[in-house]
Amino acid sequence: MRAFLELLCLDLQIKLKRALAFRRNFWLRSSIALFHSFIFSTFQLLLYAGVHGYPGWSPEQMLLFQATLILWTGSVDLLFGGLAELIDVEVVYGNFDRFFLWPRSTLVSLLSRGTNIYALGTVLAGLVGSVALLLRLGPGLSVAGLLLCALFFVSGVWFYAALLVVYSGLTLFLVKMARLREVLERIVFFGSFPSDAYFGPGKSAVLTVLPIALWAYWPTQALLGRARLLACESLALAAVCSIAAVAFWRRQECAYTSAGG
Amino acid sequence: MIELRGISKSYRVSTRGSSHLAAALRGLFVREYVTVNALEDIDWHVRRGAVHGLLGRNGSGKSTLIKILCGILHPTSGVASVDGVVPWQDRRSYVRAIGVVFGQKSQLTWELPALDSFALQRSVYGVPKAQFEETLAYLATALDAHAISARPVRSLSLGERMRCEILCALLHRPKLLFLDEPTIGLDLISKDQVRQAIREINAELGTTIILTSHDISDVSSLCEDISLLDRGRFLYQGKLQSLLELHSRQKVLRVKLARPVGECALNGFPLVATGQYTATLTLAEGAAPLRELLPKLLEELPVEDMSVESTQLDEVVKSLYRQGACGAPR
Repeated sequence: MRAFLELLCLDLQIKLKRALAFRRNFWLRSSIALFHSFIFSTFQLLLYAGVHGYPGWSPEQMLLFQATLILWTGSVDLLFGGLAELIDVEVVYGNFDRFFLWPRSTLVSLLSRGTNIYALGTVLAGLVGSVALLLRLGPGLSVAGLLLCALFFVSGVWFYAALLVVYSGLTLFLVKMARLREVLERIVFFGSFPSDAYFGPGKSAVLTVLPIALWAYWPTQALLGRARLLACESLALAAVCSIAAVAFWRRQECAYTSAGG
Repeated sequence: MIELRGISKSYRVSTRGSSHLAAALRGLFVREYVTVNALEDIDWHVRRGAVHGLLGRNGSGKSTLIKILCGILHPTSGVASVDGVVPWQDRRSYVRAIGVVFGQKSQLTWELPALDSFALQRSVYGVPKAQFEETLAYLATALDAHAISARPVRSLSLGERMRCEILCALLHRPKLLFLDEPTIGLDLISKDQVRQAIREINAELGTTIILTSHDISDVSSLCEDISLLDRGRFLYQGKLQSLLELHSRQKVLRVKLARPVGECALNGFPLVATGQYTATLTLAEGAAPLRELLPKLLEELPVEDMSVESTQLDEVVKSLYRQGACGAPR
């Protein structure tokens, strides 16, 4: 974990230096990223402000869910936003070889190289929105709720990383799989709604088999003091998925056939 | 330093005999595969401190061999030991002791000065700051890279970039350096600078260097030992000088003609190559063949000038490839 965080900081530094190397482009992209994040987030908030809640969710609680979702989306974009494209390009052109030349696990090296500094705007928007809504919802937030929210949030990021590991492993195996990324995006899309919106097997799936409820649903529930024992199942399944993803990666890593001379 | 025993690497590659759409559709359900043996049961020894030339045609297995030795690929069979370590098994600790430069792939960040990539390399390999600064100062002098490493990589010439690549690969002081075509695309001056630096680094740091190149002049100017790989097998392993001596029983006679001559006029001469005003002949070792050939040559051809030369390395290599292609014993 320490190695991953070290490499992640190095990658963020390099990305920031690269962005700063072209000054006009940096200002332009930063402004657009911030503008887009804030406008989009504000639009979402305004949209849900007009909705008179959802069964079991008041309008404020829905807005808190949206703010948490924006924070989560921004966080994974900041940490891994460029990863899918990176692995696609590196494998096709044989540049993935260089990950084997670092004295670290190839997986750690890979996961730490997909940062996207321009997602910082979305993280800020999510953070500001979450804090503002928590204040609006009034007292009631406990330290335990906050810690539980952090646990679910980190586990959600971890589970998303596991999905990226599977995607990367499949890319190593198949070399080129153009529409695989769409599947990943679709899974992320399903996580943008409270799990209560799903019924029957669909609900079970998002809570357990594919625990995307960890991304925004359980963290919001924890903030609202409504976390249930079922969340433990989501956590356990996320851990199982992560272990399986790493095992799959190791298998593909051994069978890696480098492209080009 | 490097000991390989019975290393083989094969790939399963899909094939399609026809360009018809029907064959492509059939390939969706039933696919034919062939096994390509990139390396076939090879043994190899490289001594510590050597600059060892690895020669081979395109597709001969050089890159596969280098990638196995870097821990990138796993061999299908065989055992390897590089300084007592199996590259693909103990990769993480092993790569701390090796440096790699792929001539056609860059490890430098394109938009930033090479110094930033050097700093990244230091952090990734955990090189202590004092050691890093000392090594950087030494290598920057050896490679004449003080000024160029402060400029963005995108603004460097190919030769300047290559010097930075080599510098970057050596910052953690590896014991073994793989240089895969380090002079590809370089002009004569840049090639000379790179070669000079390789020589100096090998002599002063004692780094073992494996040099892969298509440029015979790289190998002949830098390497004492060479290995010649063809179709996944070694055609030759040993001293460069021994290889040249082995083939020095033959000399080359280059003849400049005063005017073009017909093909029939050249019949009866042991020709290697002909041009409009030139002819290259082979001569067996000793003075007798020359005594026999010269009068005939002067009498039958309009000779303007001539020179007798020892066989060049590129001719020897070509001859070995031809023997290999004909299935001659290896």
